Amino acid sequence: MTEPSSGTTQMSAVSVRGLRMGYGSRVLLDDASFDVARGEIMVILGGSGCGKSSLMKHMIGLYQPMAGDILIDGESIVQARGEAKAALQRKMGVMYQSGALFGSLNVLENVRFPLDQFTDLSLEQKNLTARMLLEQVEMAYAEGLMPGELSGGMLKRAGIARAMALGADILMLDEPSAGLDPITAANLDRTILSLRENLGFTFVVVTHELQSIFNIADRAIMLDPVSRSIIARGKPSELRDHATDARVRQFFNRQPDAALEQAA
Amino acid sequence: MSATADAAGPGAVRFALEGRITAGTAAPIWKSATDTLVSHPNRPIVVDASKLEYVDDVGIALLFDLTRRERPPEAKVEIRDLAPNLATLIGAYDPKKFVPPAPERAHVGIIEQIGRATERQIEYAQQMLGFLGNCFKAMGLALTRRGVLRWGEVLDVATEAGANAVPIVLLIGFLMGVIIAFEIGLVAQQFGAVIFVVNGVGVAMLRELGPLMTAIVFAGRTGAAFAAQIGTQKVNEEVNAIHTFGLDPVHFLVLPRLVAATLVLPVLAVFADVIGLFGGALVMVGFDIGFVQFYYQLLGAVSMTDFLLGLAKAATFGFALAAIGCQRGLATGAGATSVGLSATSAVVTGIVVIVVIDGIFTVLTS
Ligand SMILES: Nc1ncnc2c1ncn2[C@@H]1O[C@H](COP(=O)(O)OP(=O)(O)OP(=O)(O)O)[C@@H](O)[C@H]1O
Ligand SMILES: [Mg+2]
Repeated sequence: MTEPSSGTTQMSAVSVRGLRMGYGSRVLLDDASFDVARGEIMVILGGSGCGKSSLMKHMIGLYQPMAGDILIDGESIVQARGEAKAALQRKMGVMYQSGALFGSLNVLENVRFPLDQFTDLSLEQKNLTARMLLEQVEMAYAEGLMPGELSGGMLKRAGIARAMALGADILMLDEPSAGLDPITAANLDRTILSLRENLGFTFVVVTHELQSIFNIADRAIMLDPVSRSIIARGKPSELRDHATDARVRQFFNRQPDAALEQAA
Repeated sequence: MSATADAAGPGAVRFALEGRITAGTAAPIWKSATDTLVSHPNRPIVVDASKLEYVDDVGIALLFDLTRRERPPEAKVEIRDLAPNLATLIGAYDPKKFVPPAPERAHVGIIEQIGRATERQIEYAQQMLGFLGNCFKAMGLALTRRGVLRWGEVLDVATEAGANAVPIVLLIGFLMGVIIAFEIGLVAQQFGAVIFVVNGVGVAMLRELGPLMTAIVFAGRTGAAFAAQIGTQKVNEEVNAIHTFGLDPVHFLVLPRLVAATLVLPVLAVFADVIGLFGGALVMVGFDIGFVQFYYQLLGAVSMTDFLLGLAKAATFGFALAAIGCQRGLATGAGATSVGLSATSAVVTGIVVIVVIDGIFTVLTS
């Protein structure tokens, strides 16, 4: 962060090589390869149900790919087992699409949970850390509420705070700004940029919010359920203006399907 | 350890933070830094951060914690040579927002606790009575008007709650018959009154244990399931969806379950009665009373009234358990945990209510 230490040179934070993934006999993505560089904010795009959340769950090692490999900091999470795999997983902070907070713990306890499990800090120190994380996502006022008492956007923000608690510097966020008001969403974008700027965090973000994509993304990849491949990759603004694939331009310019027919 | 304290400076206490401060490494550093601050309340502190390589959120919390403490003006904490990006991050937090946590909630005395619990129970009883009223109304409507009750659904519930419960009801009923016959048999033997054990087993099984044990099994299997199913639907807002279609959740979710439970529990109780008596008869063979003798003694000992009373009880139990299960389900709060609470509460309340109803029956019919 402050100075990039000389040991870790230009190794990718996440590297996906020839991935084939799916459920049962249904293949969602075939032979997909991409890299996420350290300190990069990469956005995964694609229509609903095309497999963005599934791709993220494969990247964090929850599911075994049908073929191919996924490297975290150069180590394969596909081949890793047991404690080695757990150590790789702890390098990543994950916010699930539904927030996935623990229902029996309140917001503060949820954010503190990883610290409770993995550090020797005192309760007061853990509480301070957790409160500062909650402050970052504007959830400090809700620290005493139970997950059942939160709105959809609040669940997500608490989920983000929990994802950051263990100091993982690769954060995976599944639709963090879906359901947030424009101000909170913009603040979230700012937080993401600030964490990248000041701490060198790497982000993989699934999002559909065009505004947010243009604000934060260094690079985007777009999944396509028909060809089961990555149909676009690059800087969002360039994709918007220069993409060869009509669907990609349609996505970035927010045009309905009829426009595609006219264009064709 | 990367924090080194040396008190040699002119007036000021200095220590350095070095290397990486992360969730994994912060605990000892944070402790020693806090100790240094606490043990020198009246001297300025200078923290040298020039050799700091990396901090994560815990490290930032540590740095923030050092700067936010209330100290006299001449004893300020100063962090020197902090990388500008870290200074930005820490500067974004307002110390006023992180004042020490609010004091623990005031302790509630035992009298007050009893009072609150009673209040809750009364409130619950009121809710339950209102709900029962709705149930009876719905039942009445279902009986008088065609098409209100969806028999397909009743059949589904009856299969799950009834047919699938037969094996366990048979097992429990059989064991009950065996156990009482044996226990009473041993006592009766001392008085030479073994033949009257048949009377005991007959009356106990038909009037009490058949319906009661079946109902307890039913509370655990089906009452809890009703509460969990409806509770999950409540949590997923399915119940709200039913409301917004202008449908009544009582008609839609509760009625089929009520009808199925009221019809099915007596049938299960008959199974328990029969197998229980059979178990008793088996044991009595050991006391030199054959099946035929058992049969004629039983005919003299129990009447049709005993049998029907048992069935009436069983039907009442079925209605009560279904109503409690459904009511608990509909009263489910938000979140996955509340579904579990509802299911537990349905079982506990169900069993208590069954025993109370049983008591009322006994008083009324004796
Ligand atoms: N556990 C699972 N078992 C079987 N199929 C699944 C499972 N999870 C997801 N799927 C299927 O995989 C496909 C991709 O799901 P996924 O959740 O990854 O989509 P998504 O791109 O994240 O969609 P959205 O934008 O709506 O969140 C869907 O068609 C879904 O039916
Ligand atoms: Mg998804």
